[in-house]
Amino acid sequence: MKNIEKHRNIGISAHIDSGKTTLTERILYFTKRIHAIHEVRGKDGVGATMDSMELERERGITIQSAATFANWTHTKSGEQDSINIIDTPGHVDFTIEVERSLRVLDGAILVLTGVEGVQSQSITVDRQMKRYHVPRVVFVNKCDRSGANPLRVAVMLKEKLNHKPCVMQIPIGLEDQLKGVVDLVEMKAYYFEGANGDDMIEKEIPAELVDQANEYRTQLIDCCADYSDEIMEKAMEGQYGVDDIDKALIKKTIREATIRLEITPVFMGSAHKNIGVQKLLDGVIDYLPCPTDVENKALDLDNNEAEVILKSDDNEPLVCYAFKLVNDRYGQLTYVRVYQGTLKKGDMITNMATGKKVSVGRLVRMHADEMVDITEAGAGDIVALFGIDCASGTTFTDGKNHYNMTSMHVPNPVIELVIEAKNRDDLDNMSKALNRFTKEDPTFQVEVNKESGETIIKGMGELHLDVYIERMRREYKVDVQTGAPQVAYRETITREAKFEYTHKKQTGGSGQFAKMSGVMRPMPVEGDSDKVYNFVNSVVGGRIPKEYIPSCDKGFQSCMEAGSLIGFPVVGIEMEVQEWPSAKLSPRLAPRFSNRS
Amino acid sequence: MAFREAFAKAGAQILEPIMKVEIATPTEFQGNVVGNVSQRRGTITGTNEELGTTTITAEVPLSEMFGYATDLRSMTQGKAEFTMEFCKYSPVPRNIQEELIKKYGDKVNQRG
Repeated sequence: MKNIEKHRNIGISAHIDSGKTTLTERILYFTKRIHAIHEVRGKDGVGATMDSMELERERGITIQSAATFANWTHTKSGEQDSINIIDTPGHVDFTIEVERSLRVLDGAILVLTGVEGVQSQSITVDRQMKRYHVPRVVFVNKCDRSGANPLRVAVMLKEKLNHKPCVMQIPIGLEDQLKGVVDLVEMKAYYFEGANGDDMIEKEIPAELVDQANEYRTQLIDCCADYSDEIMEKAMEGQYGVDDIDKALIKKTIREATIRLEITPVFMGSAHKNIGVQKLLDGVIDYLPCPTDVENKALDLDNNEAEVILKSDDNEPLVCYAFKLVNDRYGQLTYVRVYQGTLKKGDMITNMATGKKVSVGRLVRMHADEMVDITEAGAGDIVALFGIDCASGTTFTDGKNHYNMTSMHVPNPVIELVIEAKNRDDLDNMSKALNRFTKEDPTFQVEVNKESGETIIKGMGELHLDVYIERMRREYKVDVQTGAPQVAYRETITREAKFEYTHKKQTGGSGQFAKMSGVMRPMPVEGDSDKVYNFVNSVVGGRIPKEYIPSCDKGFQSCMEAGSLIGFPVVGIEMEVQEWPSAKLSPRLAPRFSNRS
Repeated sequence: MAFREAFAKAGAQILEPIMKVEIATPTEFQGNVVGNVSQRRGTITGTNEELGTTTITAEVPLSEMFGYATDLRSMTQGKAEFTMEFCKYSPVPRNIQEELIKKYGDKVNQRG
């Protein structure tokens, strides 16, 4: 049986083009998952392993986060560890991918570039990591580029992201002279040689770097001293040397503080030049949490949604969480993270949202778009299931517990585009495609305008929608014509106004007559809130039947869907009906009346 | 009908999404970039210069941001980059509101 303490679930996220996918490619290479390295925008046209979508390879960007699994042998201790890695996109347009990956991960590598350091998107990603309490290590990439200064990046980390950076290494040479790194815990220099930097060679620290290494070693120890009394004592006595303090104690201290999100270990190198990747992997094992180190909470539906702490134990009742759906040529694939218990092939599991039982037909471990069949997955694993119908963000249990995991944060779409199939015959395929995309991606929404009959797609940015249109063309052979991108306007009012309405109709038989009046007034809407309308009924005296009131409310609400200025939704309105002295309507007509109100 | 009438009387207004935009550009292009942001009805909320790179934060209406990626690249020889995310809804200026209403009216009339 696998040892859960040797297991890591990590994500790699960062600003656009800082080399996440390149780094993942190197990790896969060094863990012997792949045998040759293909560059993201390489001349061989193969593209990185994790960018499995044709479109991703062509544009050299990552669109979907991809999961993979690797075994790593620690270069020092020689222990075998298993790592689940999720490579995420950098563009803010695909932010939901980052969001849902972080939801299920225990730790993350935040990649920064040695030149630019902390960039705008790094801040966004960092905020997302904070939201899910994800401990992270920083990898300063691209130290081979001109102008790179990883030690300055560590300072930026403190200034811009409010982290407490803990520099673990210093570079040997910089820019095109970059040869390796000095490990400040071991106080040894590491050089990366061989065709792809396969051979990591340990040497003494070069003479010219000894002073700098000692300086940063002192900083490292001082940083640890805040979290360990033992190290504090040594530091007080001025014993900063390698032999003075137990390495295991330093590692343990840094690890615990990292998991509590108090410090951020900083590693450096160049993924492209194959420098520092092995040391980073050691760092992941040394300093990032295993599934049992992090507290995962669920809500107990039987107990008034009280919080329950999940135990990462294979023998506990099963709780797992579906965080991503992919519909590909093999059918629906559901990515799940097992929080506790064991998920076995052939098991019956219960969907907590619908209460339905489903059986686990096929269980696979993912490696980009290739998969390996497995028979069971234990606590802390990330695997994929076949043929399970659910929405992303669903919790599954073995049926004994009624737990629900807390949900993900889904941002509101900001851009709209009118689309139309060029060829009428393609309509079927288009709706199929749209159906699939909306299921996969909660930030991608489709709406049919009631008045014009136009199909409108909504998303997080131009690139986001662009990618889906391109995918429709490639995967479904639907050529789509797009209208001008449309901004999601809203309509509102600025002052109060009274209204009065008289309804008169004589269509044979008894006449229809109703008269009402009231006030419409502005109502503040907070941020992204869905509360954009309020209905107040202050009619006194019961001369009109009660059921007219709710139908009047409904009538107003339907008016809110499209404002009269430019046909966009109306927000921030309070309607108060004050007087409704008389109505002679047949109850059957009441809804119609309200529709016109 | 009551709703529409009251809506017209109540000073109806169009709101548009405003994006928080962050642009990192080599300092030499700062002037051009800032000028362009203002042209796009943007408000600069902060600038920060560090080692030859200027980071500009601004609030710009989303409707003005189409094609910005291309513009920014041609302005800065491809050396700048930007990211944006939704910030808030704000009223659109009078003239643009009128333009939007006119366009909407034309569209409705066309459909008959």
